[in-house]
Amino acid sequence: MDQLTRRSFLKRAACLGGGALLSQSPLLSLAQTNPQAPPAAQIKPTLVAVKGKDPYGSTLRAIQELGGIEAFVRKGDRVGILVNSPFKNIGASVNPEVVLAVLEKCFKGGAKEIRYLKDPHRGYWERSPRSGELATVIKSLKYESGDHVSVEIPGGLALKDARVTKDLRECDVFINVSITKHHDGVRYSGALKNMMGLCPFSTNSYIHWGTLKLGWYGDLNHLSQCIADLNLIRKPELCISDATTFITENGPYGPGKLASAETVVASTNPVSLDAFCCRFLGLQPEDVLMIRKASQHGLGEMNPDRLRVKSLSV
Amino acid sequence: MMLWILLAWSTPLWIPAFSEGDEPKPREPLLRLLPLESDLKGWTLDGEPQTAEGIGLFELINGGAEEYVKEGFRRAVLTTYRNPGGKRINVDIYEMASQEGARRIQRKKAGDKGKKVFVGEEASMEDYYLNFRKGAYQVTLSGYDTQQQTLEWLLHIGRLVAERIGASP
Repeated sequence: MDQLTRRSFLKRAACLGGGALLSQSPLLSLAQTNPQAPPAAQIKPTLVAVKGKDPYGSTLRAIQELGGIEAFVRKGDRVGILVNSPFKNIGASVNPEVVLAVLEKCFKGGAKEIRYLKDPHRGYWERSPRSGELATVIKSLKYESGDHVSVEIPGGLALKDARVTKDLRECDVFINVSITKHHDGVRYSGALKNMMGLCPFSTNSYIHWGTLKLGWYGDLNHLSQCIADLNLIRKPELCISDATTFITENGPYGPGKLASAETVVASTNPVSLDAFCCRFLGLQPEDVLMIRKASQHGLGEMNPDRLRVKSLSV
Repeated sequence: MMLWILLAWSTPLWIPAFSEGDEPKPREPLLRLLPLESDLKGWTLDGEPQTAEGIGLFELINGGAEEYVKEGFRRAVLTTYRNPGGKRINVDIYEMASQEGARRIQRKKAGDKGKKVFVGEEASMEDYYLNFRKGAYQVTLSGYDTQQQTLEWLLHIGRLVAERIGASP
């Protein structure tokens, strides 16, 4: 197994252990009802949903409400950011305004380097009216090296190992920026599915075709399990989902009918984020098999009623 | 893991059999179907067009390739045109093994919701994109806004592509 960095290993162990514990209801209930606990106003939310006309401003606010970028990025950190941005059709890739807000925050927070873990489509940044103003931020980015390494997944049920970008293990902080959108087969794409962006075509082909059933979506159970397994490799420190404007059909590539929820959602947990965001496509978390399977791995809470959600408008 | 990769790459079993007679001429360069910049009043190609053959389409458009491959996809060229004001229009041309395959893809992508327009043999315009079919080709053009001017350019570029398909040797 390839070595993850020490810091990421410790974080991963803490996250997996903590996730497994918190997914059991008695402890969570205890935390919610403990009379010694600080008043509700002082407890940080686990998920923030910011509605507004300006995706850039909404993203800044969402990060702030989760404790500010300093809660995730320390001075000198190398940040890896995985953005769903390879598709040129509108509503099929994250709005670049959302990404620019995250990048700017990371640099201001002292990030030494930001590695863009999956290259965007050509012309992506120019879709943002802020691309000129933030040209230095864009120029400072390092893009994917193209090198992949094999990583074993000890807890994986369908995916026992995977090839993932080598850059992932070289970052201290991992940020997952997804778009909430329709996706053929699995119905919904968000943070969990976005992890496939770390893998080369060979691994993603296995995830789709591994049981040799016909079709890219011939075995949804296998596909969903593999996505859940893939998320065991490394849990992001911060997850953001763009639910501003997104396709509601013909996903993942589009074009298709658009919906605009004008909302940016942030969380420290990809399962909770997806469980919350699938509502924008009219789905319940239990309708999306990969969310259920990731939750069964102990990766996060899928019942939105049990999350500390802060919703606001800007 | 290697076995299934080889199987998957060598024989996509769900591809329907070739329908002879309406098959496009093999190996004609697809790039020839893209409108010339000289016909586009300031619009220029935004970088090199991308091409794919067979299941290589999955590498370009991910799961979006599923329906095409099912219906007998052969080749594609995907590109973007850009005007001096920075507007972009995407043009994706898919060559299918048969007219029937292209027709099924057209129905799947366009449905029956869009506005009928005259481009190729069947065409449908939605808020910001246009789907049409001509012969064994299915073509999708998309913009980034719903302005009338953008829709007019979608139609104009679409018709140029349709003409070039019609002029195929």
